[in-house]
Formats: sequence, C-alpha cells, structure tokens
Amino acid sequence: MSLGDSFAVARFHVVRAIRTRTIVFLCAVYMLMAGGVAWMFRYLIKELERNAAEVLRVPVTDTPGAMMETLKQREELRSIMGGLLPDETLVEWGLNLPILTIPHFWLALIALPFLAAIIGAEVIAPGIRDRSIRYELVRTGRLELVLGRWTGQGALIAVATALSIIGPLIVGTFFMVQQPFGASLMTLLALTPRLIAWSLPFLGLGVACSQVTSNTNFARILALGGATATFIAYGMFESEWMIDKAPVVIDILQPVLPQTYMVDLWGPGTGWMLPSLILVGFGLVFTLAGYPLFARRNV
Amino acid sequence: MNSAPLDALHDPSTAALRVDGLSKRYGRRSAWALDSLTCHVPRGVICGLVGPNGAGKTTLYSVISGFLPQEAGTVDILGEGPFDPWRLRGRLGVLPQDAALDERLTCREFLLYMGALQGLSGKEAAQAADVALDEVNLTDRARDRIASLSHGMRRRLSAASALLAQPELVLLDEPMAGLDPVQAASLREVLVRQRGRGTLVVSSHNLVELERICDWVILLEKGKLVQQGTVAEVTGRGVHVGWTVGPGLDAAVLASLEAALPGHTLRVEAQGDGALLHQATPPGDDLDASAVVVARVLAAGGVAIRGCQRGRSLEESFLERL
Repeated sequence: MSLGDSFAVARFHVVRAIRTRTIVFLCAVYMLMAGGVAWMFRYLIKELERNAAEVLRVPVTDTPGAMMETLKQREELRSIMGGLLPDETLVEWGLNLPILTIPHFWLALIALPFLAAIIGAEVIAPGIRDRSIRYELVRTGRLELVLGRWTGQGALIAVATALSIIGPLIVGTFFMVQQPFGASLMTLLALTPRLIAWSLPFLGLGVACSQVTSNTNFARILALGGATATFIAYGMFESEWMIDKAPVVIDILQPVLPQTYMVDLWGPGTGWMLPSLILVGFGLVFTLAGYPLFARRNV
Repeated sequence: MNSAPLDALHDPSTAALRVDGLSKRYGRRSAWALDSLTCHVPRGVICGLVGPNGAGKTTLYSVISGFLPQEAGTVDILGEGPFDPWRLRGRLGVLPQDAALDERLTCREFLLYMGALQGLSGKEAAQAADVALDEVNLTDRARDRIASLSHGMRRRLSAASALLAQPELVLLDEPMAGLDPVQAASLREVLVRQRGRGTLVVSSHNLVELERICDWVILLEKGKLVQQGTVAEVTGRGVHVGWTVGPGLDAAVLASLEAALPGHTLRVEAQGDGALLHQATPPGDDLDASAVVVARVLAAGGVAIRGCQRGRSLEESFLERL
C-alpha cells in the first residue's frame, strides 16, 4: 500500500478535471442546483410575506425579506422550518440563521448523495471499458488507484460543494433584503464541511459500483439504486412497525447507514464533527466494498 | 544482435522474462488461451512474439502485466517473481494493445503522469517525458491534445509511455498495428534504437519486420509454445540453404549431390523453368563447407545457380510449423 501513489493518482485526477474543464461543469451543476433552490425559497418567502402583509394590513414589499422578523413569529414559516429541520430546538436555531442557508443545507442533504453516487460510478468503470486504466495499473496497485480516484473525486466534490454557496449568496444579497452577506457567507461556509463529509459515503458507494462493472451506465444505475436503498432502509428502520417487529435488525444495520448520522450534522457548535468523521470513514469503507472484486477482475 | 553466447540465451535462469506452465482461459467452458506455456526471453534481446490470431499473445502480455490473473503457472519478471507494480516500478514498460489514451490530455501531460506513477520527481518526469517524446518524434506535438493525434501518433505516444525512463523490460503488444508503412518504419527505428538498453518483447503480424529487428523469437499457437530460439535457429539459417537453379537439375545430378553429401536432406521443388533445391545439413555439420560441395556438383552438372539463401524467412518458418 502506497499512500504516495494514491496521492499522485488523486492529484492527477484533480489536475485532469481542471485541465479538461470537468470541474467547471461539476461546479456549475452544484451552483445551479443551489441557486435554483434559493430562488424557489425566495418565492416562498415572498408569498408568506404577502400573506402576512394582508393579515397585518401593511403594504406588501416587492423584494422579499423585509418582513422576516414578522414571519419568524408566525406559524407558517415555523411549520415550514419544522418540516426541514429534525426537531424543535433546531427550528429555533434555524430561525436565527440567514433564511436561505437552511433550505440550501436541507436540499444538499437530499440531493448530494445521488449526485455523488452518480459521479462515483464514473470513476473506474470507463477506464476498464476502454482499457486506459492499464497504463496506470502497470505503474501502481489497484488499491492505490481506487483510493486515489476516490480522494481526487472527493476533492472535486468538496470544491463544487464549497462553490455552490454562491447560488444562495447571490439570491440573498441581490434579490432579497435584510440578508446580510457576511452572516450568510459565514453560515454557509460553516455548513459546507458537513455537506462534504455527507457526500463521501455515497461517493464511495458509486466508486464501489464502478469497480464491479465496466459498463458505466450500469454502474450509475447500481450506485443510484444503492443510494436510494439506504434512504428506504433508513425510513423503514425509523418506522414503528420495524422498531416493534425487528429491533435486532435495526440495532445491527442502522449504525452502518449514513442517514443515521444525518440529524447530527445539523445544529450549532462542534457536535457535527464526530458524525462527519464517521461519514468519512464510511466513505472509505464503502469505496473498498467493491475492491475485492476489482482486485481479481480482468482489466 | 545480442552477442551473448548461445547457451546463455537458452538458459532460462538468467532470462529477463520467464513463464512456466502458464495457463489461462476466459471462462470455465472456453478453450485455453494459454495452455501450460513455458518459454523465456533472454536479457538484452529484442524478442518477437509470433502467432496467428488467437494464439494467446495478448493474453500472455496481459497475464505478465498483471491485467489478467492466470489459472496456473508462474511468471518471473526480471528475477523478481510475478508482476508487482512496486518491485518493478520503472523497470517494466508496457504498451497494451487497444488501450485508449485520455484524449483530453496533452501528450506531455500524459507522460508526466506516467512518470509520476513510476516514482519520478517532477523534474525527472519532465526530463523523461521530453526524452521519450523526442525518441518517438513527437516533440513538436508535446503540447497538443491527444485527441488531435492520428492513430499512428497515438501508437508512438503509447510506445513512448512504455519506453519512459528506459525500463529494463518493455512489452509491446502489436505496436505497429494499423500504422501505414512510413509510420511503421518510424516506430521500427525507435525500437531498433532500444537495442542494448534493455529487453524488448514485440508482438506483430508483420513477420518481415520482426525478422529485421529481432534476435529471439517465440512462436505460439493455440496458447502453446511451438518453438523458441534465436532467429537463426527458428529460420534454420545454420542448417538450411535454398538454391534457386536453372534447368538441368535431373536425377543424375541429384544422385551426385546425395553421394557427395551423405546424411544431408535434399528436396527439389519445380519453379518456373528451373527448380528450388532445399539443402538441410545434419546437426553439427559445416553448412558453409557443404554449400561449397553443392555449388561444385551443380556446376559440374551444368546447372546454373541463380541464387541461394541461408535459412528460410521467418514467415516461411512460421507457416511451416503451423
């Protein structure tokens, strides 16, 4: 095992993405998604403010955000935030943050696993298909290659995730009022490492699928199916029926689902760090799940 | 040519590459792609790996390079045992057949990455990349994207990656495939320039080309070894002379030849208005001396000698053995 080789592979993966503009495409997808969500949430706020203005018999403002303090006291926004955030304490915490940061984080928690899984599925399989991987495998081990590609792709996702905050920042700063840029920036930056950690297990799942087949589309389907299965399994484990009927199964399987640690990523302070580390570990383990097959397969 | 004594060339214990009882098949019900293959490549030679389609050449390369696991048998590369990317780092170069290059990279970027994976520092990798590009006459395309290269240029770039930083053993699988005669000649020159720097194993269907550059030949068929040895041994240069003669090679002349050369094998083929006389000497006999006898007898019998050739061509030898 050579960490140096993995680093060389990862570095080249990043350099190639920059050189070939792949990173630009990836960042654009992330930014558009984040910007789109922020834009939709802006409309939601606008509607809520219109309703509130009608009830309070005050003039309606064209640019949303002016009545945020009023909205925070009203049930509509609280119920929306209650739907996004897992518990009441976090709703209070969330209401004190710049308003666009919460839907940004919420959507990222839902969407990033699928994006990361698809991206991961493209990491190894195409190289097996066109045999280009042979040039590398003459010079380094298969494990080093897999770990290097996972690390490199993880770094690209980190960059795209970090840059995706530009979307809500632009919407908040230029298309809303009373959304202080500095506070929004700091909050979004504070949430970014959590999202990166959250992506890594699903990236690993994709990389694992990418090792077991040379068909990239099949790898994508496997990866998407795998990511979906984790959400379904988590939903089942949370159901009363499962808790009642199969508590042992839950005890064994729930800890290995990334979703188990999702709730802990919310909130102030440093409570998110340990679950994030666990998620990074999951990323590594999931990546290596495909390795036993890749290590023996014809390339 | 490799100047090592013949016995040393035939000694597998000092070989650059040795495979012993190697077997590989693609699926339990399929035929053996390699069937208990045992052969070796002496150090310092340019070795031609020859065989018809499906003989197992690419499979052999792939097993040696660690791309495919074998069912049975052993591989010993440079005395280090089977393929191991770290023990053989920078010592083994491979040009895989049909492996795509990343078209979005430039030639130099590709080689720099290969150099980095070979453990070269940035400066060393840059130097090695420049040397390799110069070697294959692609210096002027160094900063061009691979997508803009012709098929022949891509093959040359692949060859450059295999030759990067002068590895001790280089495996080239069909390096000249799909190249036009000019490009093939150019790549052949590249390979010839490697003589003395290391050991090259080259597979090709172009046996005329292989005969020109190779010292050692391995003939494969259906995954089995047909013959291995020096080009002279395989083509019978030490034991066979082909005489192209004019009319008059009748039974009497043939009887004189047989009387003058006891133990020799003589065979006549009609060819145009004359004939082709195959002369094979018994092992250990002096071919030059017996050739003089043949020439004298033919002259005495009034048979014109139009030409003679020691041994057969590699192509003829290849076809004869299959």
